[in-house]
Amino acid sequence: MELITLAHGSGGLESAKLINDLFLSYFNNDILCKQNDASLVNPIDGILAITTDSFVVNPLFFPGGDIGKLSICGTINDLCVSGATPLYITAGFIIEEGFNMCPLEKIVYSMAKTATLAKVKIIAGDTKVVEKGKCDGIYINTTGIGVIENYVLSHQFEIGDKIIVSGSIGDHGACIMSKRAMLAFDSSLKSDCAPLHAVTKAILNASANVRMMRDPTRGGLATTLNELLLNTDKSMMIYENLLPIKEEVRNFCDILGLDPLYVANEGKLICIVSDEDSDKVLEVMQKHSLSKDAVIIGEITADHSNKVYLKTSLGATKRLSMATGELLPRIC
Amino acid sequence: MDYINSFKNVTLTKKLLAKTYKLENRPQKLLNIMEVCGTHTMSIYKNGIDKLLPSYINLLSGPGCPVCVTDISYIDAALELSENRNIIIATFGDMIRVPGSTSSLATSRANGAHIEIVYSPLDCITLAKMHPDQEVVFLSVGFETTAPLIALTIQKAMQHALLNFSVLLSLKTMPYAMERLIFDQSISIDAFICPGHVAAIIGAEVFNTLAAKYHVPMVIAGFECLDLVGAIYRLIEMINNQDYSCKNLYKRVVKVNGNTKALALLDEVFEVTDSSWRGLGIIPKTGLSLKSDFKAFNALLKFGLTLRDVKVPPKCLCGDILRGLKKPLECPLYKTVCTPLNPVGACMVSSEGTCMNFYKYNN
Amino acid sequence: MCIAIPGKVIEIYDYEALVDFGKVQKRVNTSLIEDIRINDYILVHAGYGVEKMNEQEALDTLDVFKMLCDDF
Repeated sequence: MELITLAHGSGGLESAKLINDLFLSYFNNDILCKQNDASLVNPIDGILAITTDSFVVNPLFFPGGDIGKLSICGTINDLCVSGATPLYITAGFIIEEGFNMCPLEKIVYSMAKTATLAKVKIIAGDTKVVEKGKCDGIYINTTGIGVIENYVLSHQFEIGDKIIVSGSIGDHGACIMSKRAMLAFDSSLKSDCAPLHAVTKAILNASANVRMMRDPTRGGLATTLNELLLNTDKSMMIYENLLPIKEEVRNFCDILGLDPLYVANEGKLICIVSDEDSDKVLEVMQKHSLSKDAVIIGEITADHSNKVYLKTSLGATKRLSMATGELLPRIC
Repeated sequence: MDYINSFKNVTLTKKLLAKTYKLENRPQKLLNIMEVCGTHTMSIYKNGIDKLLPSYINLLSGPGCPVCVTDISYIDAALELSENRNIIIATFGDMIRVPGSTSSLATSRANGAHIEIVYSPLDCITLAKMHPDQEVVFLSVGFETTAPLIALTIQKAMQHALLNFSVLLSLKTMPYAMERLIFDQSISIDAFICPGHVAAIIGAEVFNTLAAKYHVPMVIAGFECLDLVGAIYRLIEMINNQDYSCKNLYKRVVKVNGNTKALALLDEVFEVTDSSWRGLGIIPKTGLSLKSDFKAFNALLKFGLTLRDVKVPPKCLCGDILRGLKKPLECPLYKTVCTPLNPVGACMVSSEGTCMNFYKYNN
Repeated sequence: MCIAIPGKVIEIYDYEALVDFGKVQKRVNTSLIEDIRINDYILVHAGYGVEKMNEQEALDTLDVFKMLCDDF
């Protein structure tokens, strides 16, 4: 059973062996294999989109994915919802001394597989090893670069614009929570972690009137919807009975007193599009396996209060605010 | 599961809501209907029931959230225990952000305290076995629904001869607290929605006695939208007919004499004491403490702690809000100093707290 | 004050049962409920069974609510 040691992060022979045997063999591409201090890429024609994210999920492996898959999907999705086609990713690893090589290989393989699926090259990387106890197994940072090929999203909402969500909410957060040691439940809960490049491409090809897209990660759908309204003079009305929630997610949330609207997603997007194009966009989304459950959940309204409103199944209208603090299970 | 899910029936609930508008308001005044259960508070807000009733119905949220009424001194004791690096604090999630005099468990965790959020106190048995060199202290906060579970956990700890487990108790009971609310001259409660799960343990008869004794109509209600609207409808009828009894509309779970096994267990492990309710002061006969046979599991005794007398921060109106006397907007600290990010009182911390719900769900 | 959710008993052990809440399962303590059988529905709070659900009472309560609406 081979373990990561401090030597693996020290830049010497062990580092070189790790890079060669593991990272290069899985992330294999013409740019990375040059192993220069900086990777050179051909000129890119168009507006560039750049994003970065760090991944510290625990547990590292969960139904539907692992930290590796998550680190690629998260960054790809940030590029895609910004209207960009993802091209390149960099990956920085901070690994705890004593981490087992076997799960590390699984994580790296997972990253390579996801990147290939999304037609993205991992072109630069870094590895550091910290002393035992100084990190929780492994942390990954990925930075992504993409290019705008269709058009720059306006971020200007108009009254009547429709709000589409690409599928069921709360899957990822519920799955992760169910696997936490002291909250362990048996269930069919599965993370929705997935790269959405094909979905966003289809959306942008179908309509020239997509105002904005975003992936509702931490804080859940409710928090992201609030974020979308910042710096605008509009409000939103969302309909509770239209929200797609899987049975197991709803039941798990009921047991712990959580609200699926505030539970994280990792393979979903929100799309705000003109009323005229909304049906067309919905249709192309539903043709794709990752967004087959896409549904219109609400619309932009004239109200200048800059708030997200929810119409409950009973017909009451209430405000839906941002999440505060961490997601905590209740007893009462 | 069909019959259980029937109480989530939106069509039927909407019909019944519409029907409430056909009822008379015979007393010709604002009717104060109080619920004393955080889960009822949440269900009302979640479904928006408070926004759909006739305007003469004033739904009051009483001191039914155990996290909200946990005394500041208790949190301070928990914090003191958490500073001991040989102690693991096990707790329900809602306790993490409750403010003590100066800090919270969240801050303590940030400073290196070992705090485990558990779904069930029974998980503490596993936790204690996993960490034989450390003490596991469970923050036992709850009402009669949770009390039997604490007793079960202590029993299990005894069976496993666990020496490294104890509980910091803040268990409270409802009936005398409801009595106190009825006596409170500053609020006038016209009817109670009784806590369904507390009733499942202590039985329906307790509430029937209260209703008849103090001439306050009561309904024991479940937690789905149909349960709550049905309960409120029935209460309006009862107020109009001066029907001073308690109707059990949660019979699928609540029996006349409750869960006799649970009650016997409570009697075995706990004795009744006075209890200090945050913002309300001491209410006699509303607390549970461990009987002497179980004192080895009492964390206060084990670690030589006493609960200090701590005053509620000045200007904090949690006490009045918990009694339904004031609304959050009337508190000078609401939204100015006291926010979900920086809660002063427990009403703003707990996701069932009146102020938290008001902040999240109101325009 | 007390989140408790109904679930179906699918396996029985000594003083415990595996309960299905609808694609989510958990083993819970059942020492405080008499005479539990497979397919019973029990109300579960924080890992223990509070009470068995009574189907007939549920249907009766439902009838009460329906009756309140019937002449609408």
